[in-house]
Amino acid sequence: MRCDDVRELLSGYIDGTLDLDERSWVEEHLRRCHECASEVAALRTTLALVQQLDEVEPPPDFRAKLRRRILAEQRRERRGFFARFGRALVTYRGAVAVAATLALAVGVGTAIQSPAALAWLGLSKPTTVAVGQNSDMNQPTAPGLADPKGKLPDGEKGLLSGTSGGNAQGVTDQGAGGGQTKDGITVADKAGNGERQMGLTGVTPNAGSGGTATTGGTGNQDGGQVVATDVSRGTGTGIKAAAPTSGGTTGTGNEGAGSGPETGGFGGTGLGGSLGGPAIDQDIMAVLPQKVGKRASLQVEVRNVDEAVAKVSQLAERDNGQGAGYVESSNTYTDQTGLKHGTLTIKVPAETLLDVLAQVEKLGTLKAKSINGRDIVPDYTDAEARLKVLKQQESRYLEIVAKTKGVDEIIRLENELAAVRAKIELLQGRINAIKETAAYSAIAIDLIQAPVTTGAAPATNSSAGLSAGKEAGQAFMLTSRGLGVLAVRTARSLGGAAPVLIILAILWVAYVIYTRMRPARVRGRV
Amino acid sequence: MDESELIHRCQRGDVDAFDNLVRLFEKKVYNLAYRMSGNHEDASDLSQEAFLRVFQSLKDFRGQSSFSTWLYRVVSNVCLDELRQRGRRPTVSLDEPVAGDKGEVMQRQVPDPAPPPDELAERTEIREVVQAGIEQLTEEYRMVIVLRDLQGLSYQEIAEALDCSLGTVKSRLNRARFALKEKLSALELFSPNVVYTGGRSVAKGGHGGAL
Repeated sequence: MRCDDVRELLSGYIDGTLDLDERSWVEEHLRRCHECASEVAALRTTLALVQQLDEVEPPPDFRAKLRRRILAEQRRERRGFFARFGRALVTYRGAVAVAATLALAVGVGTAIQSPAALAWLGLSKPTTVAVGQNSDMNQPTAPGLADPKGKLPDGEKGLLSGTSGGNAQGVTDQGAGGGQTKDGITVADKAGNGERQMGLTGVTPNAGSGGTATTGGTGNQDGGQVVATDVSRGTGTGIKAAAPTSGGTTGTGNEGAGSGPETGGFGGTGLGGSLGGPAIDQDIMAVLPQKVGKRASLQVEVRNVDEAVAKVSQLAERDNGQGAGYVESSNTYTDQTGLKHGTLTIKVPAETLLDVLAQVEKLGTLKAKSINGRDIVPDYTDAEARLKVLKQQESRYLEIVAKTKGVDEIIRLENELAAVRAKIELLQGRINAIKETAAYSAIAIDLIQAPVTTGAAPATNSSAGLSAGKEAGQAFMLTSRGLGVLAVRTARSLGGAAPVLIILAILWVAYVIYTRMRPARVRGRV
Repeated sequence: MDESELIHRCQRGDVDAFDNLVRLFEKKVYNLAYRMSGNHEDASDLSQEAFLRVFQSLKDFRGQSSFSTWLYRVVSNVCLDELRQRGRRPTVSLDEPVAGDKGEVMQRQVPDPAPPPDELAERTEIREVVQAGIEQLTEEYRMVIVLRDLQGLSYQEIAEALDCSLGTVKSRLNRARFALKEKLSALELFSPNVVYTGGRSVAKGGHGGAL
């Protein structure tokens, strides 16, 4: 027994890992027990033999081989990830299908209503946002939101200073009426020539889809400053909102509910359903600064296009005390559906613009209307200032010439004087042209032949305001129309997603049928 | 670049860094695998497999122990697993009587898989004989002998590498050495001039020294 206990410790004894007590106990035993002592000797010999074994060298290509295997392993792991992902998709295919369907439906429903998508589908024009930087004007910079609470005069100030550079800010405002109205609100400076536009655009007569991005189009084309006002007839009235953001003006289309824009300098409030036409025009005209080249466009549905064209020409050339206008261009054509069109551009004295517009509107049913104001004030002031400098220069030269005696000197001065006068004439011509622009307003008129079947009565609008009783009725109509619009929109967004949903549903049903038809054991095994 | 930086880069999947790390440890690992398997072919396979496992599980190494200890742990696990798998021969019961051709009942005759003693004795090189003796030990015994007497690990390091207690290492090493002594003394290899004096650093030819 004792020997067995000792032998338990012999390995430790040889390695010298025993504590003192154990070691002296083992040593004492080994002195008396020859068998155990010879065991120790044998163990020592064994270890000596083991330690004679030499180290071996790994094969020379060991690391290269290992490297190849590791790289292969990394590739496999990457594939493995996708394989596992794929298996997970299969395992949770139900949930995946539901999630994908919902995501797709929502995505399509949303995308279908974005301005870009609508434009692509040819449903409406997208609004351009022009951003420019103006550096060659030396007027002070009007940065950003200079006067958020600015009223009209401030807005005009903004117009003046806004041209002179800084960063123009594009503001795209979305109307409050259920998020549908995506009227472009553009505030922008055009670099270089300081040309700007102030546009008042858009009459969208269709209640349901009114105000959908049809406004702002023309006004924005030149990248100028644009005021866009969307007037949705019959459902509500949007009114301009002047935002002094670098002199710009924001417009917001309103529909139905008639709430005003949040971001405008002064916001429009829905004026009520049938209010429109001249009353609004007057508002718009009030917003526009004096020296503004106005440009209007109308789309009117008429019974007889040829007659209407003739009447428009008469209107243009009629002189009722403020001077006559003229027809700039006129042409008629028949479209694919067999409807006749007449397009005219007429120029009328600026003062008579509203009158002429009203007359043209009476020719039939107004389909669309916009008024743009191209602000020529900066151009004008710039030209005037330069003219002033040049005239001073001219009089200085004249003074000098009067005092000069030498012929050579006089000739030289006369040459200089001639150059200055040439510049003065150029500028004067330009100023006259600018005045002319302001003096005459252009009206682009699109006359469309009314479909024979149409039962739509021309919109009869009263600019004289509404009686209390009518107001109540209007309010009722407004609300119901607002709900109608909401319903239409909902239907449209669902409608957009419907084809996708239908296709997915068919695929899903086919898949379910397919899996059901497979032997039950296959299904049961999973 | 020091070891920890190298390890850090390896953990981010840097194959070049791992190549350098392998350069530092390949000899140790290969020798361990060679002594465990007894031939170069298996040693190569085993150490390749071990390093592959090291690379894959390196992200789990958090520096709780020294890297070499952790490395030994991974490598010894791979070796033991692989060898056990390869060593799994068809098992037959030695005690169960079998029926002979003529229906008589007899005891099963089972060939001993180990080389017969006389064959071992014919090997001229003592080293080959010692290696053969080591190979006849069980994997566990072989492992402690290799780690302690060839690779020179301390008891503590062995305990960590094999994930067992210090007491287990002591007793297992003791039994392993006795077992090997039995194998070798049977071959009458012992001569008076080969004497082990004890301690890691004394014997010549050992691969001792801490990593």
